[in-house]
Amino acid sequence: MNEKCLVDLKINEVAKIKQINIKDEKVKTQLKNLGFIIGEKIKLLKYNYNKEGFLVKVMNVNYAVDRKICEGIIVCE
Amino acid sequence: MNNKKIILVGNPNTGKSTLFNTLTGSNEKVSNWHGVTVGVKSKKVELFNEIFEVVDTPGIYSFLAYSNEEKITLDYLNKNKDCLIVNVCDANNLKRNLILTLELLKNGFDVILAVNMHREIDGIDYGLLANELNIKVVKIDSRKIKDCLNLIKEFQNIHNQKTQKISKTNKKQVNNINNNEIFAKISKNKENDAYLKNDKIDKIVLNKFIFILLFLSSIFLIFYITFGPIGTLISSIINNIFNKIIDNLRKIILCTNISYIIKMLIIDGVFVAIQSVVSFIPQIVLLMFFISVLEDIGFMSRVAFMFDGILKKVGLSGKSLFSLMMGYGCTTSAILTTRNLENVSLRKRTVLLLPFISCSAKLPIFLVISSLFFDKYKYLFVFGLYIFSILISVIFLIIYKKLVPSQNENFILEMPKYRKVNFKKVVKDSFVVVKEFLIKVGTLILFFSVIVWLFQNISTNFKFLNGGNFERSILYFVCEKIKFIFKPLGFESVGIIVSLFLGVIAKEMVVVGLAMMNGVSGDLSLLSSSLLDSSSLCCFSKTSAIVFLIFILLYSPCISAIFTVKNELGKKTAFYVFISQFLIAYVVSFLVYRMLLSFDFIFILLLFLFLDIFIILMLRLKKNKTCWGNCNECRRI
Repeated sequence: MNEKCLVDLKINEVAKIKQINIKDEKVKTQLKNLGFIIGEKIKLLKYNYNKEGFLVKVMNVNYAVDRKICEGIIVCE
Repeated sequence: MNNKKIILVGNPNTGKSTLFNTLTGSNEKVSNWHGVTVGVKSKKVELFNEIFEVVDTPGIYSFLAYSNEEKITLDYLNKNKDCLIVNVCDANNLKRNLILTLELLKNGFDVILAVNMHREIDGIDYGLLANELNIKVVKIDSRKIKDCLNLIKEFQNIHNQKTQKISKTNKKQVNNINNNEIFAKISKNKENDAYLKNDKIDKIVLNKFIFILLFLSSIFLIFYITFGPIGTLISSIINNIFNKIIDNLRKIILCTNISYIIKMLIIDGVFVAIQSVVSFIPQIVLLMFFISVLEDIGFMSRVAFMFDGILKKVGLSGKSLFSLMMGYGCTTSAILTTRNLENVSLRKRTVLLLPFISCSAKLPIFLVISSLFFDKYKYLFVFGLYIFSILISVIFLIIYKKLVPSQNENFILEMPKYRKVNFKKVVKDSFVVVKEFLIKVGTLILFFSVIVWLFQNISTNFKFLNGGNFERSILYFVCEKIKFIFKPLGFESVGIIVSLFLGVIAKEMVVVGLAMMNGVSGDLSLLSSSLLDSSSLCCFSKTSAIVFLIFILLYSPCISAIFTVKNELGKKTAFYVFISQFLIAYVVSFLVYRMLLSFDFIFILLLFLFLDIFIILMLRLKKNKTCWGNCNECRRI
């Protein structure tokens, strides 16, 4: 299975969340609450100016997530 | 079971507060921006001949609370375990909302599911959903009283039944299922994506070039309407109406038998202060109206998303950008718009930055003084002042970020769907802000304006000057005594200090103060020539004019802004803003004055340009490393 970071997805590419490498438990809980769960599909819709923020779709809801968090989300095809 | 409490619980931005307002007739703040409700609010209301206590809670996603607001809701729920909970869900995000519904049932709560915004999405079998969870599911539009009353009827029906058996059945049933399975059963369309239409709009709106165009256009439009001809027209209509009322009151007061000093205090002190407060109202209403409209349609979230990365480099967030832009119009109004920033630390940093942003009231001062020595290039000079203030503010933010480390603000923002504007709600919200401003800030401005009037019109031996020799007033005496503080900046005349003092009351008073000191009326050419005359109370050399402008650019904002900061963030922050702005203005003005005495003005301009380029390069180089695709080596937070 081809693993990569969420930031490496192409626009409109869909993948499944494989791992969430985030030390901050608060952020991890927040992500879980929003539907960023292992096995859930995630789609990259857009990124902002200077690629510091990513617009993603999870559980049919769109979220703006900053790069720092996205680098901790590992996805697979 | 407590049969009179209706506790509204649900994910953020599902319409709980709208439902609360509809049921109770309140004006609680509602927004198309999650995180707006920050505490539990309750109100008693009579419905169907019964008294209900409707309770609105901050949004929660699940029982794993990560924010203070969520903890507030969970604590409240734990104290009211025997109440029937109204779980408000957004039909567009049902899959995610069901996580909380299942957790409420698993934790033994009795739940009635209110599915809001159900008309925006098709293909959900709510009957099947009710069977799966064995609870009542009610479709509502939280803005419509008919739907809300229907919900209350269902609520009453459930209360009339015996509920113990139902609770136990629910717990057994729900322990073995999850939201994905339920949603897969109840959703008739495989790709039931409520955001599909939304995504098509975002594809256009969030295009890099189209977005910047839309953003700049919206800023320009807001400015043009609020501070341009339309805003000025509305202001002048309101001011004319108010002036007519004041004129009539003036005539009445002059005819009374009260002492002359009291009459002048009321006419020249109180009425003028009230006029200055009223002059803010059209700006605040228009500004809050437009901010609410942009918020309501969902554009503000997109602005926050697109600019977040750029602003993060200086310790701010994309969410701050609108408030900063509004600061170019009016600092007071811009401070009020920071209420949208739910993170207190970010809000504080945005508010601390706003005084560096030159409000429109300073523009006349810049134009009058710069025309004395740079008449041909005065617009370029004024533009340079604005750029200089941005430079100083960036340096301030960088230093502040190092001295006061912020909480780790990870940017995760739910992107709301584009919605039609609810104009009734938006207009109501704008007037609520004005009412608060008048009560909390207006009264303080009135008080201080009266004090300043007294200082201007009472002599040092406590006699009323009656428009006479201003040099005998307490204000002049005090400014003469403190003149030595400003001598290192090259401010030799007392008149300059008096005008700076008046500028703290309102920046518009600076030019008025200079004219008053030199005994000239509003004629600008007369004022300009008097400011160059060394025999006038206020006169400028080229050096002192530049230093004066820099001081005006950076020093403390007007008292209405200070009191608005006090109202929004507390006395300590307001005091800090006042003192720190004065000190920064003093230090920078001192450095500029010393440089002007030693070097040529052109050299200083080049130095300033070099500093700008250096800071831009420094911020550009401060980039996060890209992920190289080797996921085992990705940085962990």
